[in-house]
Amino acid sequence: VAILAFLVVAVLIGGGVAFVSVLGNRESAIIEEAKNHLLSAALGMARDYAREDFQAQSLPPLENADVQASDDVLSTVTTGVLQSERGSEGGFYSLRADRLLGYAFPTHGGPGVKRDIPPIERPMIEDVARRAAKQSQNISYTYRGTRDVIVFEAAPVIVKGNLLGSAWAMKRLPGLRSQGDVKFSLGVVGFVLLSLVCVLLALFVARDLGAGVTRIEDRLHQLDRDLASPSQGFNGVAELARIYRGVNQLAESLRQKIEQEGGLREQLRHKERLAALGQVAAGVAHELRNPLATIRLRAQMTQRAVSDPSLQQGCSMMLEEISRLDVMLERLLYFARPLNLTMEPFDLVALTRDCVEARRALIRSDSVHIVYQPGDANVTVRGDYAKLRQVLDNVLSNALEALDSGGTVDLKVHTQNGLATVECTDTGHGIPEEIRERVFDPFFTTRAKGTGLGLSIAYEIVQAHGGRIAISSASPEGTIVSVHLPIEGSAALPDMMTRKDKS
Amino acid sequence: MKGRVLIVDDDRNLRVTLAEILQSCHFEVLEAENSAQALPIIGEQHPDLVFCDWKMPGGGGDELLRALQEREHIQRLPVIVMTAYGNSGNAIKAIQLGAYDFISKPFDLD
Repeated sequence: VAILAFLVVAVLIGGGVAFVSVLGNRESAIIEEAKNHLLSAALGMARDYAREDFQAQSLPPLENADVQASDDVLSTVTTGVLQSERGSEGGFYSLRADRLLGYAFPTHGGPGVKRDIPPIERPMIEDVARRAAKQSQNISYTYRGTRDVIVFEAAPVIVKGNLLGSAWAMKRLPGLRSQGDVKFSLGVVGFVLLSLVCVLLALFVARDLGAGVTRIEDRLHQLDRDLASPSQGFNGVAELARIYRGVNQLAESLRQKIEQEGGLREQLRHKERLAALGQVAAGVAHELRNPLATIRLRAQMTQRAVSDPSLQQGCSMMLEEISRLDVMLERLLYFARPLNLTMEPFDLVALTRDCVEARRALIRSDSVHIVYQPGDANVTVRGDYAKLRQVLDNVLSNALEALDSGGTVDLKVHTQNGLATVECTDTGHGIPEEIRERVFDPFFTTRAKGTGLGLSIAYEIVQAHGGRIAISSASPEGTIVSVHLPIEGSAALPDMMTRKDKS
Repeated sequence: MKGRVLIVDDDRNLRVTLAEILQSCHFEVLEAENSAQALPIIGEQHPDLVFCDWKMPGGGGDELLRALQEREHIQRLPVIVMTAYGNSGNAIKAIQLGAYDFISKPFDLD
């Protein structure tokens, strides 16, 4: 940009210089041309005088003392020559009489022929004419006045070797130096000023553009490192501000897309796992339940057949374990079956209250509390009441189990952006960051007696409702599980389609 | 003897156990490994009740039920389907095919 500005300045200065020199050249060319014309006029007058047969007279005009008669004769010679030179005037100089004679201004615009030598120029004319006569050579003189240029030319008049005087011609060149110069000077000054303004403007714009582009460049680098970095305001050229805003918008939508894609990939991964699990579950459950049936029957038969209490207790333990296995298989089969939802509108606040009350009745410890303060408003969602109750039961029982030595489970229902959220916060031992993502995976459990299926079933059910279940850390310790469901009448979360077939 | 019961299951241990239980309750017990074996037994020995597994190699419970539906004279023979899937879809299918009842494995002695 600096180089560009420099180039602009150079071109402007160069152009100015060229302009001035062209004007100067033009002026001197005009003066030179006028001089040539006037010189040839003066020479023509001297030649004409010599050609005229004045010598036959007793007293030729330049040698006659009768000034008045000579003047008339000579002015006809002058008129004859200068007729063809527009704007020029001239006459003769008599060496003998030492005076100017035969003045004429034939192309003067006024009425009649002008006969008076202009008084201001007279000394100059006399000087030039005299010098030409005395030195016997052509004399040239250019007078530069404040308003105009006057060119004088004089040539000696020599007849048969006798130096008699001189012939002179002059021409005013008005406007060359007068208005011309003023205009020219004004033009040059204006041109230079304009150039300066242009240069300053260019520098100013270049500086602003440079700063703006640097800001945008910095922002792009910043976004390259971190798409989510916050944007600062942009003060500067309006067009660049638009680009800056465009860059920020692009980055924001890109960030959202990436985030969305990440979420979708996570869902897909989960779905794939569940689908694979479903297939395995169906086969495994069938293969295990046949032998389990035999084992259970045999254990029951044995239990009835024996009377020894220790053998009876052994059989009870066997039957208990068989039941546990059966429950586990039942949950496992959940993934092998299509999730048939019976959708109906109901109040999520009431559902939460029902779950809380049912749980409270089971609490045996004084140090465990469930806090739930529902607001007045109903939050109507559309879904499978029984299945969503299963979800909340599961979330609540997990939270209660996390409270080893007492604590509080706090439930809240709120709405935001077309989503109803049940938030369950416990003051328990919390879930380490590194395994938080895996708690929704089937068979993942941190409890000795857990199946690791509860939360993954909850995940499935919430997803099938077009909702989302998320887990995060509470401060100072504990866990927050949030179940988000679309409010009745609002559009479901994008890209979370209801599970329609067997997964 | 209270009656004649046919047990159709590919799991031998389960078959034997069920037979033992039923015999102790004074039922006469017939056994078959699949529906292909069961059909001739039903035709020749006319059991009063059939316990039938749902999924078996060589002919499952659904095949047995279909075959029985085609034979009008023994259509009223009650068949109790036993399944390891414990899934209502199968139960509905079995009832639609004419099963008398449906029990899920592992079942209780009672």
